[in-house]
Amino acid sequence: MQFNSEPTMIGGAPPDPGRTQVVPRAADRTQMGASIECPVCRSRSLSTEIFCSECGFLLESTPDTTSESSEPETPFAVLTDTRTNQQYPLFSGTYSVGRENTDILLTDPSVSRSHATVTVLSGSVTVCDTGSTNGTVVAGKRLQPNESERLRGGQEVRFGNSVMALEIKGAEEQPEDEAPAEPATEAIAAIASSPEEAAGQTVGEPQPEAEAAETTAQQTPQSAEEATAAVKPSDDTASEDETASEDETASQDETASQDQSPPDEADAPDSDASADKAPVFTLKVPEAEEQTPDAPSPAEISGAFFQERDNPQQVYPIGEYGANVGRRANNDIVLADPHVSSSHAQVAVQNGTYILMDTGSTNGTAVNGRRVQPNDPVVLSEGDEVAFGPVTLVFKVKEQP
Amino acid sequence: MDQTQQFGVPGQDPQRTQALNPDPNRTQAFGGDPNRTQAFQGDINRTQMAPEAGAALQLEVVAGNRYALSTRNSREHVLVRARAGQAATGQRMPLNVCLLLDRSGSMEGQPLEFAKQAMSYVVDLLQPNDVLSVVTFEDNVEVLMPARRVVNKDLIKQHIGRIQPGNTTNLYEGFVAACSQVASVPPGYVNRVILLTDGEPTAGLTDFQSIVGQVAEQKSRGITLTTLGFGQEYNEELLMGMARRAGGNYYYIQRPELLPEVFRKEMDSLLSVVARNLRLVFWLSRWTQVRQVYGKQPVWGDRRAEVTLADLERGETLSALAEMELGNRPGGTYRIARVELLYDDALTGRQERATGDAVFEFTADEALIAANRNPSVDQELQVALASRNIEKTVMGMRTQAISTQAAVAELEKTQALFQAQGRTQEAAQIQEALDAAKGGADLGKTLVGTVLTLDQGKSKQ
Repeated sequence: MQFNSEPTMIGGAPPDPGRTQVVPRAADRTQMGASIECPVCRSRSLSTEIFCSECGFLLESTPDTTSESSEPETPFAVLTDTRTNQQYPLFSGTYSVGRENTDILLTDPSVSRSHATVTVLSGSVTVCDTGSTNGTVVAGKRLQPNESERLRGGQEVRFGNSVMALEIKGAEEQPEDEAPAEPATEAIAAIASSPEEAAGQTVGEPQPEAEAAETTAQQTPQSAEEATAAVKPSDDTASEDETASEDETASQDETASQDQSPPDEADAPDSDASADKAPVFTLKVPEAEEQTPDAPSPAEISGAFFQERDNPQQVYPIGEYGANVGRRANNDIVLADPHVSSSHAQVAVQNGTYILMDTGSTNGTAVNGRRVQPNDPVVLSEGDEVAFGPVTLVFKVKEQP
Repeated sequence: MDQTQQFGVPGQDPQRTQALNPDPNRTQAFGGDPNRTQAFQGDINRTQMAPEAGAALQLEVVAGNRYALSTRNSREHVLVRARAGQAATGQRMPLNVCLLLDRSGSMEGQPLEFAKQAMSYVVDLLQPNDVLSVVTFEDNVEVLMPARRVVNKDLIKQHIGRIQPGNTTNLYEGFVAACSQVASVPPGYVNRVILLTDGEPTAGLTDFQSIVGQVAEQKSRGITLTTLGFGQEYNEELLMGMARRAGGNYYYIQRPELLPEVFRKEMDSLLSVVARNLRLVFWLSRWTQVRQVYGKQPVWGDRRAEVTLADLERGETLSALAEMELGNRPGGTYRIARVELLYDDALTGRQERATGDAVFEFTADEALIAANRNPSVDQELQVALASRNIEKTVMGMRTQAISTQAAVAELEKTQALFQAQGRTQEAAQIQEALDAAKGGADLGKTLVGTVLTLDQGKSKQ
């Protein structure tokens, strides 16, 4: 291995004509050479180094301290992406979160362009969803658009599929001592004097479980890591339960108001994602367990519908004007299985008869195990098993109540 | 095991690649293998030059501006270019290729026949010291030929000729089987799996995350993948996503008769690989963060950020553009990051390393900053943004969020940008897509390829 053989060019060459040669670093390390103190960060580097090994300052020059610039203060808190380990230091003020041109830039396709904001104010961190497609979840609670929620040290926040952990470096909830280099702290402190209460109010009635989880987490006065470890599992359970129950209420409301709405509307975040916002690479991964509660139960649907053979909880209403079936989100019945063609088949309604037609799908459509020809209409009757590629649905007709 | 025996003609060293097989032939392999010597002597097809003394590539680190703001947080770009030395030719490392063929029902007829022809052609291009394996998949995965050296070309071609179409598409299992063939060969080869498919995966694990996750895992073991999508029904997002993760190539093959040509292109590309397993590491000084590396997925660590780059071919330049977040600090000159590129020299097989410094002069004078932007970095930024734009356009058209007209207008703008920057290849690809759009065809299949090339930062001198 040669270390200095490669002709490396330096962009924006440092104005340092005096120094011409560098001793190979690796060779130097073993010997105890003289060291230089960096005038900026005060750490010591080997005298053979051109730049400070800590802050990168050009060692032979002198820092310009005449301007009002100074060393950056240590952040109040740090958000860490649990997947990529990228860290986002939080000082004070509001940080935008999203996929494009934001302060906290998350490249995951499930993150909306403008997803949420994180605000550091008088020793507390709050997260506010700004109308994201796939939602923001704090302590198992999915935030409504423009709803704020406090995020505590050791807790996780989920933006789409990106999970971030918050680590508080400064003193939490102590506005007087904290004052993270923010002028007019008293005024701000007065507004948010009781972040507990504020959070409690927004959290409101619908999530007793989430609050319970939160309290448990807080009552565990262990070391930071242990606390985090303890919080995580309970958070997760809370998250699932919570989303489930919440979504159920939501979907019930929705089905009540508009009977014909296909179940995919209920879990709008996902289908919307593929419809308008999610970038090219998102493929919908079916998450049966999570989505099941979203769908209307058979009892809530009028007219004909499909029911998943292997998962009768999952139903797809056909509606009075028929439905297009396919993988892509612009279909009435979206089957998020990669072997279902983007536009797979359609069901038409003529004089109360339901007619199925394969629209030239790759993997074909079969009724009761018999493959239908493309563009060849077939009449469906109660109990027919229709296979769209590998997805088998049972056709059901129900009388209007 | 029947298959193995058919190819295991004694004396032709089939066992060398199977290190775990205690086999009596092994001793023979080292002593009496006529092909071994042949490989180094009678190889007229290839330019034979002594390996260059210099490195396989040059690293260049360009700051997006000579100055940066000292008084508060600011964002600046750092462009890194890895350029293959033009003279970096010589006795290439032997190849370790696996041809992974989708023989699902839809391939029946012409496509399969052309695919076989193309594969036979690949066999012709290989040298006796190269290793080849052939894996086909439908419901089940079949290792048609385990990894071994290409000694009896006619026999291999006979076996390829017997491939029959089956039913579904079990892409995941097929890929895993292909990789285990490639991995069964000891190091010292340029690895690649070449996948040809015409449809969506329909059996086994079929979701994007599982498949691409598997690709990433294999890439971390040094196995690169090139994907060839054939016809209209395959999932271009998946194939492009796989190639992107694997640092390989992606091709869209419209008609079956183009198959041999595309395989030739891919073999050309593979034969001209000069550096593999490129890992670019930004070692960050204090008060510096990498916000993003355009078109790439960095992994962040303690004061470092790392991205993988595609395999580097002769005469090619790979660029990576990083957006940095710079904290305020006392004025002066700072190295904000030490950039290190680790790679395997494809000619010598050795791991090498090149480094460079990203240096900015921090000043409070904003006018100085505005006047000293680096135009070549700005250009690179425009290209990076154009790539996102194409992606958006493709997505918009697919979901019918934007009209064909709007998409065409958008693409024409991007095309003009490429023209202005002398990126004729990309401009031509967009033209191709525009023609397709005017004929009412799907332009996504061509354009994801353009996005991939742009995101990989590839350009030819």
